[in-house]
Amino acid sequence: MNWIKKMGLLFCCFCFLKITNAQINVSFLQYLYENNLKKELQTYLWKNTLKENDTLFFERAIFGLNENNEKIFIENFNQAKNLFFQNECALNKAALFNFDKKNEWFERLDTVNLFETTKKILLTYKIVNSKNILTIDSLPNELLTSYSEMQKYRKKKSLNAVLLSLILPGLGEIYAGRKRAFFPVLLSNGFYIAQSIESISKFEVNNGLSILNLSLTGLFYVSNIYGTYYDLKKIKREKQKQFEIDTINYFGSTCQCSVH
Amino acid sequence: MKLIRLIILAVLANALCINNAIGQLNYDTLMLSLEMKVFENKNSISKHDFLWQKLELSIKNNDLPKAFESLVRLNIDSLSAASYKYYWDAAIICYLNNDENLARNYFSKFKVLNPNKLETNAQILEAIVYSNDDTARVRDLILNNDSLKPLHCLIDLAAYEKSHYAAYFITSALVPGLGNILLGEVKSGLVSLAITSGMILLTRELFKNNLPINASLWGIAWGLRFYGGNIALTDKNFDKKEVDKKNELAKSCELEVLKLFKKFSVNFLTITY
Amino acid sequence: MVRILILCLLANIMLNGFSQNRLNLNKSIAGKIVEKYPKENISKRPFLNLQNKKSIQKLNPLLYVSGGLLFFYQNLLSEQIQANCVYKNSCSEHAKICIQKYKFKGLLMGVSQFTKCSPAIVQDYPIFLKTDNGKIINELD
Repeated sequence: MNWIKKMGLLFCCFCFLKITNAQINVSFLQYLYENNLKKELQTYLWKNTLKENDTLFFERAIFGLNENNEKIFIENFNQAKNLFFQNECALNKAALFNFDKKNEWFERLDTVNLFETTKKILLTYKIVNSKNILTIDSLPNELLTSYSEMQKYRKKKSLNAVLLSLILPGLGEIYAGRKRAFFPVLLSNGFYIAQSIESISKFEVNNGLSILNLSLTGLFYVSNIYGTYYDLKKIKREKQKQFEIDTINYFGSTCQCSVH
Repeated sequence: MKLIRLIILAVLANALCINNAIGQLNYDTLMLSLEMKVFENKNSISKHDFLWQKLELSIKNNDLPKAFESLVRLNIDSLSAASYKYYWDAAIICYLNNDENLARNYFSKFKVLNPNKLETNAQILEAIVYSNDDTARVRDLILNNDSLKPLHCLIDLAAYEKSHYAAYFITSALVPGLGNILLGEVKSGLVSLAITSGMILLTRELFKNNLPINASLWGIAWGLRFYGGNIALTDKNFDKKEVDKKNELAKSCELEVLKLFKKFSVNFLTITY
Repeated sequence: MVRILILCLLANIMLNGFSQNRLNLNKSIAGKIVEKYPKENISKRPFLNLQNKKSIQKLNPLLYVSGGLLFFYQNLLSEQIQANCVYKNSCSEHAKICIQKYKFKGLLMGVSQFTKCSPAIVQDYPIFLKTDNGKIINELD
């Protein structure tokens, strides 16, 4: 029994030596990033027995940003907010990461101690997500083109697109922004209408060919109208997404930095 | 009591023999600790030895991409016990990770350093690694060693090309669907024939009934589409037949190579797993 | 001594038994030969997926007519014309997905995409909606 107790004690000492609360080694972290060792990085930040402090949560949040993992970022950002508010590069990276995520990160952000660039990103976020036209004096010149495109399509009405499509198939597509769809739509609808007229004039309406041609014409005509209505809604979302992407690219290039 | 002591001694002895002094059992943690050692020795030559240990551990855990990642970062000449055996192992790892150029590089270094140049399993690996790049070399190896005759399939595989493409193409152009039937795709060939003939008859009927617009859309536009599509389908089926035949040849070649491996097995020389 | 050796062997077997699948080197090397020449996989194009639909919805004849026509087209006719759609989800596949989700509106959406399908329309779409090989991403929201 004594012998077993001694072995047990040795084992416990060995384990104790192993399970220490070590501080995070930032230069080792930098080395792992430089060599692109993602698996080792993940193991180091999560499985290794490091002391759980602000620095560790901060590094984990940065890992989440780099790996485009929203869950990891949000979980650790909340516990490392202080460090983010002290590091302009990290905060800007976080702001740009959450810009198009629709996760209310900006709504929960403390706007009192923000850096200048972060304030600009926040203002741009408000411009994108507000239905009203806000003052755009502080918007950079590089973003004005995509902003004006976005506003131009926001003003367009679905009813106008539908009416234009009713008058001439394909016209509604030009209004909706799919200019190059005009000729294919016009030609296909035109051919089916001509076919139907020809078959009705040669045979009667209740002839098989006429019924087929009429049904196809009707289907294509109605689908062109509904397609235009749906396209306009889609294009409004596309223009907003384009503006978001341009914003992320612009601020991403102007605040070039390396958190790691 | 004695038995319990013996059991504990046996387990500890085994643990110490299999694992290194740290004694951790988790693969990720072991890899991290080795990487830490590489980092601590990054300016010294011993980092290569730790990278080789990482590589060995990855192989033991069947993690080939990770092993390749470690291999690319190290310099075999800087290993403390560098020998031809490491080049052999490196060539195998590169081949398994689809980097044949690097595999050939390492293999050629192995050949320069290896004193036993005529071993059959080395020749087998050489044939496999060079099969896509230098079939003449593979042919020479087979000529000089009768045991390697089954490897002739590698040369046949690399050189295989389906012939008479023009014949199928012209046949499909003359009789829609016939080219596909000759290629063995009877169903799509018959469908092409039926559709194209149907379109011709339909166009004729529509013109007879004085419906030129209907005829031009249903008959001419769609008819031409189906006719052109039939020729493109012949081309696609020809390529598909070639790919399928190569796959068949590759499978039979794999069986030949496995039979050969039963007599002359290829193994790692420095890694035990 | 013999007992220790037997116990060592048993412990070895026990420990190694719990380890991950070992690399079968010869099989892996031989297997690479076939990997370089893979067989072409023909993806199946099934009928409409009506699994999550309510029983009443499944009785709609429009579903079966349109689904049947699309099934016939995809499995028989589409290879005959060697259709190469500019959209990532081909027009027929997109129509199938739309009909499954939106029924009649979906049919209109599918036909609408089909009438617009031409190589020129790619330029009307922004870069983020295009794949690496130039196809338009047309997944439903």
